[in-house]
Amino acid sequence: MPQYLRTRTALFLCSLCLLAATVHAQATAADRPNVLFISVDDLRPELGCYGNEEIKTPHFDAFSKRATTFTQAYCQAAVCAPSRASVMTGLRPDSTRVWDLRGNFRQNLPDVVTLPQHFHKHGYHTVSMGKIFHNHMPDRVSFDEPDLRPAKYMTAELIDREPESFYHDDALNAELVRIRKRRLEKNPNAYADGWAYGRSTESFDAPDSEFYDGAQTDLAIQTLGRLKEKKQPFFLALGYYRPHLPFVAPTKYWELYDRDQLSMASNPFLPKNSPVMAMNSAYELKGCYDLEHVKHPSVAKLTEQEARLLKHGYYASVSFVDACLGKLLKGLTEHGLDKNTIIVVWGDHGWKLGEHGSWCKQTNYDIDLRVPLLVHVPGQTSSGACRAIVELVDLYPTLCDAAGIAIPDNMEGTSFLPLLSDPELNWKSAAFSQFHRSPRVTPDGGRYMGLSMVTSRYHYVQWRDWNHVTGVAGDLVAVELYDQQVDPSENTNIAGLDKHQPLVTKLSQQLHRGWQFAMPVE
Amino acid sequence: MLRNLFVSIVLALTFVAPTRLHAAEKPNVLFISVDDLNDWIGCLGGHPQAKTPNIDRLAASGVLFTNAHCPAPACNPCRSAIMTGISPHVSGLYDNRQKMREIMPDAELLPKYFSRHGYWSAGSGKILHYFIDAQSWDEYYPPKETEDPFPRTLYPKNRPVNLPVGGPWQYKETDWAALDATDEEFGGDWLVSKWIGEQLEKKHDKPFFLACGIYRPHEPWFVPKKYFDQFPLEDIQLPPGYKEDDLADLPPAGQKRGPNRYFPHIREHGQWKQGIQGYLASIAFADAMVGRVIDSLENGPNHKNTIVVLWSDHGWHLGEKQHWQKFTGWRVCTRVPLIVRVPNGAPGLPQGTKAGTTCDEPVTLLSLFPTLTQLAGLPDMETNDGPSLLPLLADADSDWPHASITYLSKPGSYGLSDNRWRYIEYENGDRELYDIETDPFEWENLAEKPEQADRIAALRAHAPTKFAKFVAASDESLVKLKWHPADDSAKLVSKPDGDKFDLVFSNKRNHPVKVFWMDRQGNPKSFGTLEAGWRKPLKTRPGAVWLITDAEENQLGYFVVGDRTAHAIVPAK
Repeated sequence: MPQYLRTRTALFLCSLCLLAATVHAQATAADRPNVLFISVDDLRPELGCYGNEEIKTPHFDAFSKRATTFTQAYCQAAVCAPSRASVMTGLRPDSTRVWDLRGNFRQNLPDVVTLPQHFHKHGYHTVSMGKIFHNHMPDRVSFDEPDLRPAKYMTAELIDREPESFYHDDALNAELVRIRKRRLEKNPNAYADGWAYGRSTESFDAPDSEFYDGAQTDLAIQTLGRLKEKKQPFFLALGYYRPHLPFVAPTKYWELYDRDQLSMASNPFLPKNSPVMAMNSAYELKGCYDLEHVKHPSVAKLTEQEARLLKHGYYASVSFVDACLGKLLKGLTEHGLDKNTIIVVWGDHGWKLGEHGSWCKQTNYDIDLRVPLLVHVPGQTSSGACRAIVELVDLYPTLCDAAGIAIPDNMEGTSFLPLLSDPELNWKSAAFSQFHRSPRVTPDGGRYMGLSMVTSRYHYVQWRDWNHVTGVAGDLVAVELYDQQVDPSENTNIAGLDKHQPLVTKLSQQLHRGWQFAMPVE
Repeated sequence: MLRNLFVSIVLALTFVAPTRLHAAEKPNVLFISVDDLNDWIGCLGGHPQAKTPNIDRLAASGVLFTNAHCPAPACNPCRSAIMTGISPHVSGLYDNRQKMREIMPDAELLPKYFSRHGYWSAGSGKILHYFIDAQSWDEYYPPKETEDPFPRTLYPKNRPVNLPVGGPWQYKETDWAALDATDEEFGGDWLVSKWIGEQLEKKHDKPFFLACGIYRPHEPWFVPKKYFDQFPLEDIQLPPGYKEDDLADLPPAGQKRGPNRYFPHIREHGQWKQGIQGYLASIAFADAMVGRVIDSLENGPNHKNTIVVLWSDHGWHLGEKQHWQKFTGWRVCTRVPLIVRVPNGAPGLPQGTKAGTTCDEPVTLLSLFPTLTQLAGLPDMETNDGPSLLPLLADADSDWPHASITYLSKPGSYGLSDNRWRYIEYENGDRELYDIETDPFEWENLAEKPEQADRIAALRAHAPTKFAKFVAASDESLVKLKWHPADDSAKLVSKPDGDKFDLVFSNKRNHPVKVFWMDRQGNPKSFGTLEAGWRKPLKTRPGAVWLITDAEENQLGYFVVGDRTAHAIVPAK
């Protein structure tokens, strides 16, 4: 055969193969359900559908009627970066080596295939907007269309700003500009280029769309309209910024609550017998310039006025996000996509509103580890609460399972899809989480790793010396044990009681065996 | 009943009496340590000019080990290991910053063990790392209650004498000078050898364990002039193991371990030969002090019934591998003099040692504890990690299956000698291998040669696979940094120079304070607030200045960082 013919034949065969591969991918992918993947920053499971009668979340509540609402879902680390890295890679913090806000999984595991990358490999078109990974490390390679922003925020001035810190009142914005200047003078490398944050709260009377989360809801609905025209199924990830600080929300959501009538935390004190490294310093509040004076909860408490303002702001922010969610789900239905779309709504960790005398996240306590998680799959017949222990690291395999695509074999979570049909199944025996306590905030200047295990009844935590360079945990320094049956708020550490030593030993062994031995058994 | 009691008493007497008799026959132990003495002694030939006639004389009368190594190349871990018989990799005591009694609160030391078995244990001079550990001794000079092992010692009035201070990183004792003084006026080791000699010249009711800690040639190298005069400066020869360019084939960890600040500083000031002279002079002085002790033994009533041991805690670099000081895994730093002389009739070795014996087997000073207890016929101490040297004392050529391991300051790092090869492994896995037969100064690293893989595997098989964790010293045992109350006239400027270490701040005030590092221009850089009663370790360097203010940033006082880790206490008022 002449050379040119040989080449032509080869080319022809190649084209055929390519065509066949494409046709095959489309044929199978086209039948697959879409995924609407909604994360809500700092949202604790305090919603109407989780039994809170004070907070106004009609849209979450309505969604929960056609979804499974997990009441025992736990994050793998109670702070954004490690929690989100774990969700998005299906790996636990010790594997991603992201234990705190500085860790970057893409540096540690350059070739890791994230959840949207895996969906892309299986024929999905993947899009993100808002906060999916941690701020400043959006991992743009994860999406076909990464990091969409509402047009209004695409200006040269705003493009690099974190949407967290946008205010609406001109005076507040001017104030932030001044504060930022002062911050940068003190520290040219100030967090978020000095923009985080201005004041801790803002109530501004404007339509939802004037606020970032409102605007990205509109953009998401518009994008759904575009995506539904594609032949490929889509994976749309939308990360809401509220109720993360600062509590900036339209006035109408503030007006849903009477600040003076809000019920405050029933346990505004450090857990009895808790070790020195267990509590967070709530330093995040200090990022708001009206709260710069805040101290470690063992040193000083917020005033009643401050506490009420913050709780009010948090509730208003949740109700605002609730409205955004409602609008988005309505948009999905109006586009006719609701019948063939998996919907998952999750929070990256809990949040303290005065519980344990502290604020924000960053502990191993239940209030920070337990997260809202609502999942709907097309054709779902059962709905309601599921009390089985699940973990956010389960999301990756669960979504693969629900979409009918292969579950990668490196997953460190388990698909909980079976629970959607039968919420009473015997499931995981424990959830595992961990938290790196930095010496910057410990009264004794120590650096610790807290290893947490929640079982159906007990919450057991080990605090160990920790080397953050090698990632190796050292000596056991302190232990916490809470009996959630008698002490659901975790107000008394009973690990030191003689009568509990056999139990402590047993839990310690279980913790040591780890997640591999806590998986559901057939 | 009565009859039974009578039988019991008779039985008891029968057993007690011979035991007593036996105790009286127990050999005495003279336990001589010489601080920071490398192989620069005549009988080991480490430096052609070294003059140590007394140590050589002792060596010639017993067994000289030519391949002895320290358990750790620093005073504290080495001496703690020798005196407890517990290896650094078991105890977790790896370097000078740690505290023996924090890590091994209940360990029984060699002198206490002998005391408990009927001995009178006494000592003088530096045996442990700058403390006596009174509980372990029956008597000490200076008195044990002082916990200060040093008798009065003459120091020059104005210091430094010869080596200018290069920076805050520099150990204040790195200096040398001939003192215009007699040995007696100098004091120090002369007083130690005097007190030890007095004990040796006496008859004792009980057998004795007598420890003599000679401090020179530890820095500062200040000794009477007559010792300097033995080594004219113009004749000084450089260390035989020095090679200008022998770092190139070292792995990164070795390259980092070698060069330090001292050596270039010393050369820059033209003090290299002066330093060598100071070391040789200090060795000659130490040897003279050892000679006084040996003379006292020989002239006294205990000569025929006393085991003599002489050892040094580790070697010393005088420029080899561009290093000055200790703390490395190379042979120049781990190889030590070790001499053992056993008289006839010692329970563990009735024939005694044979004069003029040398033993080339790889041995470790960890073996001293079990060797001495066995020689004295005492029960073995269960916690001893080293093998007894008895087989080698009986026959220097006997089969010796052990290697000698020196544990470096980080768990997992060590230097290892067998009877020909030397292997170093760092905590990051970096390796070095030397053939000591052809390359005694470790100039050619063979570790990367593929044909050596099996040899390395065989050498590594001697090393432990588990290393105890490094246990940091408590705040209380750290050096307390001087608190300078605020002073408007003081210019607070950091001059950081040297390696980083921890500085532990404690706030004893009843209000929060702010901590600032002063930069080189005197601008404060905030390191946050320290609440009342809080503690915070921060990384710092020698020469750094830390300012403490109240919450309103009014100055309260400041700290100036020295050459080592320390505790910075903001006082109550």
